[in-house]
Amino acid sequence: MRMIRNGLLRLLRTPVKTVLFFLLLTVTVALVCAGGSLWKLCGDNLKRFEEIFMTIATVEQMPERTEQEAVWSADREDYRYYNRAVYGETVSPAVLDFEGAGYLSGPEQRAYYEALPQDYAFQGVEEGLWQFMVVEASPVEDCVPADPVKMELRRVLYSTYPPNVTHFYLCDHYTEKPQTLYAEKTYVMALQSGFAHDYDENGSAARYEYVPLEGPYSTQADPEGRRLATDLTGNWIMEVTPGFYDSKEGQSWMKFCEDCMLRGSRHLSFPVTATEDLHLIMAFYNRQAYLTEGELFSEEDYRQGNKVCLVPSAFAGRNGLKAGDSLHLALRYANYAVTPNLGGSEGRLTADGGVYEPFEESDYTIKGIYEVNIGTIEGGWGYLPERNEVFIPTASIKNSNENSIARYGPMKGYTTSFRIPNGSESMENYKKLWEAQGIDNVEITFYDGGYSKLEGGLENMKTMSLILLLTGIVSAACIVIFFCHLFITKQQKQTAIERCLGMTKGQCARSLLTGVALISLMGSVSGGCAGQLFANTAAAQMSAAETFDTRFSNGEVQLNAEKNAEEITEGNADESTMAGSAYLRETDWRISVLCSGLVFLFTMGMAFGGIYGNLRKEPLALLAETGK
Amino acid sequence: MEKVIEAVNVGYVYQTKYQKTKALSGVSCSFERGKIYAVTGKSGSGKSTFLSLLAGLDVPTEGTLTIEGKDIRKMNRDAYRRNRASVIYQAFHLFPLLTVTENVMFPMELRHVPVKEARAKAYEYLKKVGLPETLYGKMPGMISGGEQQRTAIARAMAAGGEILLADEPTGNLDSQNEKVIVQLLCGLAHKNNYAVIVVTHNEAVAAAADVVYAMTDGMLSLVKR
Repeated sequence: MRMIRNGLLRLLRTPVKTVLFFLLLTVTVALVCAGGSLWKLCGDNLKRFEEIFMTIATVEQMPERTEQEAVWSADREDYRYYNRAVYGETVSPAVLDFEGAGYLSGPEQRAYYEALPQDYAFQGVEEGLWQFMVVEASPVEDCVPADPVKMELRRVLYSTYPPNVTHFYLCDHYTEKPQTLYAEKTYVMALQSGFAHDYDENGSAARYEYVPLEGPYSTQADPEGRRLATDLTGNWIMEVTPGFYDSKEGQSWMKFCEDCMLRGSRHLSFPVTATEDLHLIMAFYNRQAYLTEGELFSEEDYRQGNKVCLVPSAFAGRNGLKAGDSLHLALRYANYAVTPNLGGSEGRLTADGGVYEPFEESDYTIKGIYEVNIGTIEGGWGYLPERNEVFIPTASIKNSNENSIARYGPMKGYTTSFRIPNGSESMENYKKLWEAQGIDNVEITFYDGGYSKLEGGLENMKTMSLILLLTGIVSAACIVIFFCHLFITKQQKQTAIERCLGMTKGQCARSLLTGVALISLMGSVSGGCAGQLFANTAAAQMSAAETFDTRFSNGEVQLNAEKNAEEITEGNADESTMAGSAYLRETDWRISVLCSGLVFLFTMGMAFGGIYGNLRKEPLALLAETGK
Repeated sequence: MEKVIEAVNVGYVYQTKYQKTKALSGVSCSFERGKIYAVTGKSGSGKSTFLSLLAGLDVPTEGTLTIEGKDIRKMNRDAYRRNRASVIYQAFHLFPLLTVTENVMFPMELRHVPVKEARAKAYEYLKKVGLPETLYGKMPGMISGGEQQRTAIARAMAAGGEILLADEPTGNLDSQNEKVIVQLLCGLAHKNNYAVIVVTHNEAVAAAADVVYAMTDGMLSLVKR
């Protein structure tokens, strides 16, 4: 004890050196702890955001050129001009399968399937359906329907709801020189109501007309996307002659009506989209679509093709469905060209004039019910789910759809996407590999919800933390070595005298170590506390300074599904709350303890080294050295 | 008289990484209690090295050195230095961060003498060597070389060993203080039955010694018995 007291006494009698050692050690330990804590925090945040964020990319085949298309407008008696994209040869999604791409999901060119209605209730007339009907009619007098002409309704082959009229006005609105219609003849035609032809002086619609739409036609394609040859003409108006319905053309009109009765004007059937990962669908990725009940598909669902589905809340509500209930799906045909919101452009009939029959029919378990919060529509309607759209795992469709592809089109942003690992490095690597493929007419757009920016910020902070840590380590090492030299090695003379006076090596060691141990312990503790405090302050400022693209929080929805669902349902989703809940602000105090502990141990190690260096010599040799 | 130290053909080689230097060779002699010995010789002749071996600061590289019949190689030399042998160095070797009193108390503390008693004894020894009381609380760096030498002698006395080894103990003293110290050393030998071995150039010290050895190039020869 007396030797320890003497050791402390010596410290007190060199106050400048002692205080300087304490202060410098405190500062460097603070640097080490702050650097270490922030480095760990940045790493943890990166790891956390890595889990929360997702990086997806949409793929779009660019048009070869655009063409101006002239469409006659009867009311203007002139053409309206539209730009139409002309695509060359359709690029297969297979071009995306190249080595090193590192996909996490996809790439997939999604099809949506038309499912037969069964007994489910859909959007009704009261919800504002336009009337669509297939009728036989005759003009009241010979006429050319370049302007509205009065027609007598002879027979309704199909109508979305009863027309309750005997006469109607017809205008072949989009044909510059319509064919002459004769009063004694009957014509079959598909009509759409609700078009205003001309206006009075107040600008109000003076008269509503029926406009003929394309008749039976087919856009059926093979699995490679090639359109199949067909005899269907798609004529808008055809004369009904005796035995017409026995002819091939007449039969196609009957099949056309049969199809109309099956699915109505798209209000009696519902679209089913198959996907390998819901997050590849932009609405789910950017959180416009979110769960209100149940859960998303699991990895196992995707992998094993479990018969599970997500249904929209309006559809579920109308049919009294909830998660866990069964939904019968009879899939008729696939449309690879567009999403359901842009759908309806496919021909209703097969290339040989038949009606598409279901190729896949089974019961699906409702795994979740989703709602769509439209908000800002980015990229157009094609990116939003259709009102009754049901989602299923791609692998749940066991039968081939090769004979049921109603339409195929080039890859579009809303139909084709994939997912890769997060991070600018991953994106850059992908872009580099993609450029090497030499495919110029396919554009890939990445969405990472701001991860790259956040990653960049965190990486910078991590680098700065590392610099802080390394600076702290180097400074601490220099200071410890310097002061150990002062307190231990330079005390060779003291050790020599102590040894000459009969102190044992152990007593000498205790005498020298006591002071160094005490200062380094105090310096490590105070430095650790200061470093922790500094790290917490810096972390709080760092998180406050970061800005987030709130769409990243699609993952956050999963993490805090219930909370976010409530927020969104109430329409008060607080972006900063969601971003904030993801950001780790509190540093790990254990890092400070570890860092300060390591500095303390290092100091003790250096002190032991110095002491050992002195004590391994005989007192005579020590004295001789101090004499020099 | 009782032999306390006996050297038989003692040799010592300083060995560094780069060279070996023979400092002592074939030194044979013995030391008894109640006598004062002087070892004279030129600088670098090996007398301080010999004194250090007698103090147990190292062991001979050749020959045998026995302390009260025990080979020094087999002894606990820390205990020997702590309890039996006291050394007065030419360079004083005081602790610069301890006061004069604390320096003198130090060897007693090593022997677990209670602080109060150690302090009282320290004052007593300091008084014996003629150090003014006003200097007791001073740091060694604040007093003169002579005062430091006297402090070192007081510390050696405080160590309580019966073998007192002194390396030029009067080297930094004026003639008056020199006499005091010589008398003190003679008193320790003759009255207190110490074996006092003094390495010195000083003729007065040599003259006061009972036995005088001369060291020449590491070899010891008897000059006066």
